[in-house]
Amino acid sequence: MSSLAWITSCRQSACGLPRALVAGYLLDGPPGDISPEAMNDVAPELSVLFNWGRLVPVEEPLPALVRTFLLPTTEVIQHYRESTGKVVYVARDPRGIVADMFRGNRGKPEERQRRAEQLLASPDEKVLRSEDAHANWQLHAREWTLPERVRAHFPRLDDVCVIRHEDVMADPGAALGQIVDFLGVPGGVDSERVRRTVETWTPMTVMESGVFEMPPGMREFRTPPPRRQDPQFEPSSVADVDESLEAAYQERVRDDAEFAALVKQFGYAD
Amino acid sequence: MALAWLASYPKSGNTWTRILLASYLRDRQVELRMAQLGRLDDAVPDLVNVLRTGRMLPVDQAQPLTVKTHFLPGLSIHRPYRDATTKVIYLVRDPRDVIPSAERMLHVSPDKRSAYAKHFIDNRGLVPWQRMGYGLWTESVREWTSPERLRQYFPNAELLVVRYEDLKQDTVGSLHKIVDFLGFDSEIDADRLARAVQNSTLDRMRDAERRDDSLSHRELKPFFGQGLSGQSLSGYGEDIEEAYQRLLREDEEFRGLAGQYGYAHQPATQGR
Repeated sequence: MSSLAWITSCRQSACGLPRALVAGYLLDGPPGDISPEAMNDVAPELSVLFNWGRLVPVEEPLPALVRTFLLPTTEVIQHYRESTGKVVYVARDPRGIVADMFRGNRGKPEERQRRAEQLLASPDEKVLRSEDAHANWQLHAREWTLPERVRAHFPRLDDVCVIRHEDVMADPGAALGQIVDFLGVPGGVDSERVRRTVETWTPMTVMESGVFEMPPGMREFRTPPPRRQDPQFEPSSVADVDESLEAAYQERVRDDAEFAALVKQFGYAD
Repeated sequence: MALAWLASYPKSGNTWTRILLASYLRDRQVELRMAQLGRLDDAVPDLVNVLRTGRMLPVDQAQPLTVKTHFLPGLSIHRPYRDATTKVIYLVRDPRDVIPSAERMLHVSPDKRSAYAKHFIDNRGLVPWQRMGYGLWTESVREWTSPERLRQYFPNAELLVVRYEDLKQDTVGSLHKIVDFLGFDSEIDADRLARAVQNSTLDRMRDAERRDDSLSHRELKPFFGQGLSGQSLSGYGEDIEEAYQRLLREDEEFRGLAGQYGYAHQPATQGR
């Protein structure tokens, strides 16, 4: 039986980029030539799939991987308990996530603060009971990457591949090759195809392609929005984090052995 | 096991009916947060919204949980609930009124209104929505309201079709039918029904939407419109109204379905 592969990360860890690159690699065409339906077939986002009235198929043809932010403990992910074989986890320095939350002053200040605190909080009972438990960095990383935890959620698990968001941004081609290799895509890693994909699947070309447009095809009846002059696709730096949140982060590293071990494992302990 | 679908083509009164039902079940006015319309009230949830939060629908409740969907019944998102589904309420609305209502929601450009309306008429619905799994207007009505078709997807389901126009004209009577069909109460409390309707008038919804600041940072057109019925499409151009009349004359399935629900008439000039 073929198995499902998830690609997952805590919110704003940008696992959308590697997911899009994998789709681009498999479909081997520029984003402007790719339909949302084709994306859904090879590398869907789970919640987008729901918007299209679909569940992830568990019989052939399966997608190569499915993106989700949800925790593996949720009922929806547990629906695929027996079908799950691989997990690609995209880790990101929680301070970079916080910096992205605050960049551009998007949303209400109190809401940004609440989300930052939720991200860095200890995954206590209150966090576990909350509806956005999946937005807690430690809980998300623990449940998706600690081998005994992941195997408890998915008894037929083959392996987990952890890649860092920072490495994806620094060398998307290497990250794409690593994921394609991990997924065992037939034909192996074609370096020329990787190069082509990275060249054509940039955040700007993806955004302009309409591949994520909802409802699909409506742009025919809409006036296109003005083109952004200064698209800020560069990730925020951990240096952008507010002092109080940096202090909260350091306190968590100091006081919580599991948190400290996870950030060290991913290389964020400095 | 019990589950009821509140199904419809988009812009056919589904959200209003959810509000009416939730107001009846809670016996109070539903708090309206436009940023969370999908969620609205756990008493009558939206299928997509439930799944997006990581939950599956509970199917072990004594009374059927009523759940909103726009998808065609045969889509895989409904498949886990094939046997648990015992009731289906399908809301149907005159396509003449769906067209302007959807236009507002979908942010159609003023200079593309006629092309949009023509697209809807030429295809018997919106292709973008068809691609998303809602089907065309004809597909949605056919698949959900034909008992033989519906039984293929939900073999244990009873069906109630409610016209938006009847819901608007006699809201208490229509809500009574819905509550009775769902079997919420052995004896339906008429005062409670009246309170639910009073708490859910379109005027109240529009007021609540105006007061709500959850989407204030976005430039959105109002979700709750005038709820008009029987409008002429001549506002899109005389050729659009003619195209619609031609569709009624020449497309057998469209004429059949529109006629079955009383939508094959000449339009009122201003709508009602």
